Amino acid sequence: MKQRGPFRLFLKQPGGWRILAGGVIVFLLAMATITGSAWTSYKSEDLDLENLLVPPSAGWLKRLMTTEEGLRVQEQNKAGGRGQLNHVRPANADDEDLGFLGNDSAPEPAETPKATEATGKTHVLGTDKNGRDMLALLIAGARNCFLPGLVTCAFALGLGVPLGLFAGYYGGRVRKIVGTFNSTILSLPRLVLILVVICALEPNVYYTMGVLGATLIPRVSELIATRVRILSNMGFILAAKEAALSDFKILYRHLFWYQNRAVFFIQFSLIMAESILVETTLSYLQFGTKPPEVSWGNIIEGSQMSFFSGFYWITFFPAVAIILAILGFFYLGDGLNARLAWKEGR
Amino acid sequence: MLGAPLLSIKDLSIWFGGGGRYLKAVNRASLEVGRGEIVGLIGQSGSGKTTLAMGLLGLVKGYPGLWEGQALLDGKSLLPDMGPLIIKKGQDRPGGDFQVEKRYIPYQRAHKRTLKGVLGRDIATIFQEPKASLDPFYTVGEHMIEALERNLDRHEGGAKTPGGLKGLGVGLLKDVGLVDAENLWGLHPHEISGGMAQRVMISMALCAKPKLLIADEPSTSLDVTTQAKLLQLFLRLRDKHGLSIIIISHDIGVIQEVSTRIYVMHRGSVVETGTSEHVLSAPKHPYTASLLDSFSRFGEKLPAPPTDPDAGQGCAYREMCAAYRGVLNAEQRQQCEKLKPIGQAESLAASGVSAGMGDWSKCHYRETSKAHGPGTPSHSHLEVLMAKEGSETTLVKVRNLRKRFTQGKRSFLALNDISLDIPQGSTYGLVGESGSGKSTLGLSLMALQGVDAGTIDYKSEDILKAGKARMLVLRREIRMLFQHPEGVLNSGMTIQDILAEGLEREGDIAADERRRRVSEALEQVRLDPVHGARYPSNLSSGEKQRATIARALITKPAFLVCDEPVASLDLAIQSQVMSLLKEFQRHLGLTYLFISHNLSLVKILADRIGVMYMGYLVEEAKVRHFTVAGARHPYTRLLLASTPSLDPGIREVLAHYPDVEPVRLEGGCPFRNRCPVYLANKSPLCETTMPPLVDIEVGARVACHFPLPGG
Amino acid sequence: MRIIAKIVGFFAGSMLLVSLLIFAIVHLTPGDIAEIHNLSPSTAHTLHLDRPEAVQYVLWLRDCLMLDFGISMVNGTKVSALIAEYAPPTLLLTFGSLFLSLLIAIPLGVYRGLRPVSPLGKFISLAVYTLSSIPVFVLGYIVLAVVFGFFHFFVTTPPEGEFHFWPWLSYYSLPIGVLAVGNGTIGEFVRFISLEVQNVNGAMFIKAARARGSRLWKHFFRSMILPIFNIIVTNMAVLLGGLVVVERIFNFHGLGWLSWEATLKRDFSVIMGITLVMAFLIRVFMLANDLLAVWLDPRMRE
Repeated sequence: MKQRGPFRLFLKQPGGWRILAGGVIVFLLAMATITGSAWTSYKSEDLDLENLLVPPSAGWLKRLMTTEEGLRVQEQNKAGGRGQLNHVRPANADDEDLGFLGNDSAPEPAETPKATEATGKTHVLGTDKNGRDMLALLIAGARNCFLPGLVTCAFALGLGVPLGLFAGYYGGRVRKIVGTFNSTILSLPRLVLILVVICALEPNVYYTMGVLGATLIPRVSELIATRVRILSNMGFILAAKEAALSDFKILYRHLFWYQNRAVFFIQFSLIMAESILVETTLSYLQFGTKPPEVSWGNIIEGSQMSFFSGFYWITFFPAVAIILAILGFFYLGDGLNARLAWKEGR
Repeated sequence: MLGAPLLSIKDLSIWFGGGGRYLKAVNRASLEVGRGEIVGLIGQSGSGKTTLAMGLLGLVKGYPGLWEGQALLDGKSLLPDMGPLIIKKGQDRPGGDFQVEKRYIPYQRAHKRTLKGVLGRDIATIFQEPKASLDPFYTVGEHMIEALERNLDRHEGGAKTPGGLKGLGVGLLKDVGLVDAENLWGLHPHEISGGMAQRVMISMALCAKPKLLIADEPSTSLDVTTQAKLLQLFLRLRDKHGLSIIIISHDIGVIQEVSTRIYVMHRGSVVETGTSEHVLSAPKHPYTASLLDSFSRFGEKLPAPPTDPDAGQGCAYREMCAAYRGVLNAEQRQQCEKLKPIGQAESLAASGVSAGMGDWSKCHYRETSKAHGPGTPSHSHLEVLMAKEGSETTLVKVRNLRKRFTQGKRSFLALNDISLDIPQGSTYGLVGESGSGKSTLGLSLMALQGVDAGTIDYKSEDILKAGKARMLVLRREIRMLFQHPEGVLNSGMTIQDILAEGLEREGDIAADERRRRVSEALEQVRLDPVHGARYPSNLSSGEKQRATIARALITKPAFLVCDEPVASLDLAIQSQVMSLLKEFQRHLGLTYLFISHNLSLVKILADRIGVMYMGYLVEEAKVRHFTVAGARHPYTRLLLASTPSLDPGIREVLAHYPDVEPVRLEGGCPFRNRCPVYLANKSPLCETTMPPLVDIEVGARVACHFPLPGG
Repeated sequence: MRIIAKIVGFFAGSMLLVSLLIFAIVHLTPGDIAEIHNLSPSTAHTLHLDRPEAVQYVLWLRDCLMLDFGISMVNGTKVSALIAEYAPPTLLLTFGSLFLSLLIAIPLGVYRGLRPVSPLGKFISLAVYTLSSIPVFVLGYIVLAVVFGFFHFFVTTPPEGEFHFWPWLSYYSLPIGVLAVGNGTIGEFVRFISLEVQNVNGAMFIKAARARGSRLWKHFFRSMILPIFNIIVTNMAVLLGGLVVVERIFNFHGLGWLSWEATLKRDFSVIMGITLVMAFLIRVFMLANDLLAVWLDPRMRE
C-alpha cells in the first residue's frame, strides 16, 4: 500500500478535484478584486491612444489566432521584423457597429507603435478599440462581478436561510406564508422580473443584484426548509425541546450552525456563480454596469462583432474570464455539495 | 428429508466491490433447503445473512463482484463458475464504488441470464418493508395481474381474460387470508396496512407456484399480533403447497416459531446449523449460546467500564447516589470518596455463572442501598426510605387525559380518558401496538404534546399548568429517551457538546466543572470519556443510545420517559441498555415510564404494566399477572401469545383469535372485532358501551365486560 | 373534486399576487411615470395614471382580464396587439428549445442515473455542468462565430412571404439550439432526471419487481412522468428569462426582444403586459402540473 499524504487523500474523496479547481479560480478572483490593477503596467482607465486594437503580445497567445485577419497580422509581424508588434486598425474602428455582419473591409496595417518601444511596457492581452489594456480591463471587471455577487448573496442567504428555518421549524401557517411568497416569485422569469425593476428604477447594478438575490430566496429557503423537516422527522426538534432549549438556540445552533452551515457555504458559492452569470448578462444587455465602469459583460457588448473582423481578443478574453469565473464558483459549490452528501451518507 | 435437497449451497463466498478492492461479505457458507422445509437463517445485522440470499439472486445494491463456490437449485447451477479466485490480502477491503472490472462482466451477465428464468418463477422473494415493496402508482389488482400474466402457464385453465385473471387473483389473495379480497383489488398500496401488504406480496409470490420462497425479515416492521398470524400463514403454505421457505431474521423468536432447521450466521460465516430443537436446546457454538441467552433472559454481562477502574478516586457514582446523598454518615461518605468499590460481577462471570442483574453492584454499602430480596429487585434505596415513612408516594399522577387528532375529515381519539399512577422509584410499563396512543401519552407527560383535557401531576404539581420558568426546572427533572438516537444526537456536534447542553439551564457552571460532569455522565453509561470528543457518526448504535442516556442523566433527573429506547438496537445491545436502565433505577432511585411494543421486554423492567389499545387503557396490573394464563383482558392475552417465545405451547391460544386487521371501531368496545369472547356470545353490551377501567382485584384494573378468569 | 377546486383556486390567488407584485414594482417606486414620458393628459387618462394607485390597480387588473394591457407609452400602439404580433415566434422558440433540450437531457440523465460511477456517466455530468455554466450570450457568440466563420451562412431576418423550409429552419434553428443547450436548463434537466432515476432505481418496489422478474420499464416510466413534468415546469421561468438574451443576440423579433427594447425605452405598459403574460404561461404550467399529479398519483387525491 502506497502511503498517501493528506492532500492526496483530500483529492481522492468525493468532489476533491472540483473543490481544488474551483478554489484556485475563486482565490484568483478574490485577489484580483482586492488588488485591482495595481500590478499591471496599465490601468483600466488609461487610454493608450496610439495603440488601439493591439493584439496580445504574449507569444503563445499569437498561436491562438485562427481567423484570416489574424494570420495576416502574423504575416505582417514577420515582415516587420522579430519581436516587433504591429497592430491592425480598421478604417471604421470607431464606428459603433464595428465589423458587424459582412463588414469585412480589410484592416490596414498601422505603423509601429512608438510608445511601446519607448516605455518598454507591453499589452500582454492587447488593447481594445479605445486603447485600454485588456488585462487591466479584465482585472477591473473582476471587481465588478465579485462585489455585486456579494450583494446577491447577502439578500438571498440573509433572507432565504431564516425563512427556510422558520418554515421548516414552525411549519403550519408559517410554512404556508413562506410557500406563497416563494411560489409568487417563482412564477416570474428571473431576468424579466429584473427588467421590470430596471424599468421602474434607475438602472443600478446593485439594485438589480438585490432583486436577483430576492429571486433566489425561494431556492435557498426551500432547500433549508426541506432539510429541517427531515431533521424534525428524525425526532431532532422534539429532542431539543426536551432538553429545554430555547427556540432561538434550536434554530440557530442546532438547525443552522451544526446542520446547515455547510449548505450555507455551498449555496454561497452557487449563488455567486449565478450572480456572475446574471451580472455579465445584464451588462451585455446594457442594463448592468455602465461604461466607463468595466464589466466583462459590457466589454463584450462594446466590442460587439469584432470577433468576426479579426479582433478576437476583445471578445475572447472576457468570455473566457466569465466562463472560468462561473465554472470556478460552480465547481467549488458542487464539489462541496458532493462532499457533504458523502459525509452525511456515511 | 426426502431425496436431494431443493437448494444446496456449498462453500459459497461472495465479495463486493470493484477496482481491485473487495469486501468479503459471505465466507464459505454452506446451506441446504429440503423440499417442503422451512429453514431459518439468523444472525445480527451485518452478519451476511441477507447478503447470502440476495447476492445469490443478484438483488443487492452493487451487484456481487466476485463469487466462489456452488449454488444448485433443483440440481441446476445458479452461479456460473468463476474458477478459483485469487484475492490478495491488501485487496480484501471495501472498494470506493461498485465499478466491476471488465474480466468479470461475462460471468455476471451469465448470472443474470440464469436468473431470468428463476426469479419470480422458481424462487420468490418478499422483503422487510412490505408497503414500500409495492409500486405506489398501481392498485393491488394491477400488481396481481402483472404477476399472473407472467406465470399464466403455471395455472391450468387460467383464461387470459381480465375477468379470468381477476378470479384467479382474488382466489390467491383469499388463500393468504385476505378475506376481503374483492374490495382490496382496487386499493392502492398507501391505503392498506403493512400486514395486508405483506400478504399481497406473498400471494403475488404464489402466482408463480414457486418452489422456494425467500422471506427477508418478513415481519420485522409489523406488529406482534400481525407477525404471529403471518408466521402461521407460512406454516400453512408449507403444508398446503409443499413450499420451501427460507426465513431470514435477526429475531430468534420468529425463527424458532416456524423453522425446522436453523443456520446461524456470524461475520459472513455459517457458524452453526442443526434442527431447531437441537440448536435451541443445546447450542454448540458460543455465539449461538449468547444469542439465545440474550433472547431468553437479557442476562448478558454488562460491558466492563472502559476506563481503568483505578483511575481517579472513590466511587464514580457518589454524586448521583441516593444513599450517598441521603442516609450515609460522614465516615461512610469518606469511604465512598476515597476508595473504588469492588464489584462482584467479575468474580461471578469468572465462575461461569451469568451475573444476574440483582447481583451486579459495585458499591461499598450494597446492603444499605440494595433491595430487600431477589423478588423485588427494582426497589431503590429511596423507595426503601419512603417505605419506612409508611406509604408509597405517587410521583406522577395522570387523570382523565384526552387527546383528539384530526386529519382532514377523519379524527380519532389518540388518548381516551387515560388515568394512571406511577409510584416513585418504580417502573410503569406501557405496551401497545402501533397506533395505540402509547407514544402520544409519553409525549404528553413530557409536555411536548398538548392535550385536550385532563391533568398530569408531577409531585402533586400540574405540569400542564406550569409556567415557562417552572417548566425549565421541570425539564431537568423529567427527561426522555427516544427510539432513534440518530435523531437526538446532532450529527454536527461532539458528544460532550451535546451533553453539556443539558447543563446550560443550570446557570453559569465553570468550564472544568462542566467537563467533570460530562465525563461523569459518560462513565455512568460505561462510555469512555474519550468518546466525548467524538461525533455521533463515529459511535456504534449501542454507544449512541448510551450517549442519549447520558444526555438525560446529566441533569440528574427523577423521572425518565423511555419511548422504545431499545427498539432500533440489536438483541445483544438491547440487553446491555436494559441492564443499564435497571442499574440506574437501583442506584439513583429513578422512576421510569417504559413504553414499548414488546411485552417481554417490558416485563424485564416494569413493576406495573398498562396495556393500551386504540387510545384506551384496557388493562393494568402488576407484572406477575402478565402471563398467557394470568391475563384478564382478551387483548392482553393475544399480545402475550403473539410475542415470540421459546415456549411453543403458548401458540395454541392464538388459534382462538380471528385473523382480522385492527380497525378503529366507533362506539362500544374497540377490540370486539378481534375478541373471541365477543365473537362467541355476540353480546350487545360490547357493541354499545365501552367497558370502564375498573378494579377487578387489588392492584389490577381491566376494561372488559367479560374479563377472562385469570390465573 | 374538492382538491381540484382547491388547486384552481390557488392558481387564481397566485395570479392575483403576481399581478399585485408587478404593479407594485412599477407604480410604488419613486418617479412619476407620466413625467418620464411626457405623456399627454389623454394618454395618461387612457392608462388611468390620473387616478389614485389603488384604483389604478383595480382598473389595470380589470383591463388585463379583458386582454387589454393598455397602450405603449412610447408610440401609442396597443400592447395587446404588440404581444399578439411578437408572441407566436417566441412560443415556437420556447417550445422548440424545450423539446430539444428534453430530447438531449432524458437519455443522458437516464444513463447517468443508472450508471453514476461509470466513466461515461462521470463524463456526462462534467460536460453538462460545464456547458450549463456558459452564459447564453457567450454561447451565442461562439455559435455565431463558428457558423459564420466556417459556413458563412446566417439568417437574421425573419423569413417573410411564402413558407420555405430552409430559410425558416436556418432562422429558427440557431436560437432554438442555443436556448436549449445553454441557459443552464439542460444541466438542471440532466442532474434532476439522473437523481430521480437513481431514487427510483434504489426504491424497494423496483427491487421487489426485479425479484418477481417482471418488466421494470413500466414501473420506471410511471414513476418518472411526474418528476419530469415537474422539472419542466420549474424550468419554464428560466427558459423564458433566457429568451431575452437569445433574441437579442440573434436579433430575433419575439417577446424577449420586445421586453428588452421596452426596458431600454422604459415603456412601462409594454413590460408589464409581457411580464403578466409570461407569468400566466408559467402559472398555467404549474396548474397543469398539479392537476396531473392529482390524476396520476393516488396519494395526492386525499
